[in-house]
Amino acid sequence: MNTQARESALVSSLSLVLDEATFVFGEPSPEPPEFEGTILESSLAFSGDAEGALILRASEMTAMELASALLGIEPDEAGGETATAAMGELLNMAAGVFMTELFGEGALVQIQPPTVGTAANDDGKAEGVTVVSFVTDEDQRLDFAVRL
Amino acid sequence: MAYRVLIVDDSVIIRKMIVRMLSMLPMEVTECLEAFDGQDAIDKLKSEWVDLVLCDVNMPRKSGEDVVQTLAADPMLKDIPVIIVSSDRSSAREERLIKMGARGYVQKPVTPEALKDALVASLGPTCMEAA
Repeated sequence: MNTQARESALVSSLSLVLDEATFVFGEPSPEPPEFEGTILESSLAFSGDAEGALILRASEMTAMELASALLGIEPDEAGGETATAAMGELLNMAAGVFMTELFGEGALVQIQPPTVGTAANDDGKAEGVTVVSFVTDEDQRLDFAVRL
Repeated sequence: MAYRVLIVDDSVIIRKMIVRMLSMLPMEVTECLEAFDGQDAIDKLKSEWVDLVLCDVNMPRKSGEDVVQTLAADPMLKDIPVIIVSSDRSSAREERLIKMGARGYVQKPVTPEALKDALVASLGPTCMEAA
């Protein structure tokens, strides 16, 4: 499984989820803006026909805007808990698409429930990790990564 | 027919999204009950009258598969239709759940159109005739 295939699956899965669930348009960018403020990091492990982890990162402000888009409410109505829940669910949905994109519809992969916490403001890159940075039409950054 | 619906998902976001989608459909829903995992769903199904279950698969404690199997094995609950709403897109998982007794399968991210199609396929077109 080469890096290009992983990047392609990361891009198509997060794009589909952003488009269908939040109506937010995002595209990959080699030079994304810096994260601002608190960074939320959602992660989940998967096992079965493939093993690894997926990670989604965004600023808390971006997460609140995505939560408001998911629920059809105003951004100031989406508090911190809603933003945290939105990060978990966006990752969960993207994970389902990612698995079939990369491993095919016949693969049986068990996805664990996501956990969400805060993260350091670094590039998230580590050995064995493939990261794609997205920029939304509101110039907000989202990082989506896989570790296999 | 009016429906009392049980929405089972460990994500409060998804539960709220489904409640909102159901309110947008021309379907008579008298009440939406919510369960935060499969065990909570089974407990509620044993004490509440429910006409339809919309259920996630991957959840803590008991999964969506556990819910479907428990209902199928209980003479009092076996006729309650269960529609799976899951981020798992594998055909193997869908076939497995349908074999177990689920009446439909909707992939996340769920859209109002996909949910409506699954409800009509499972319950029949008259389910979209609000009184």
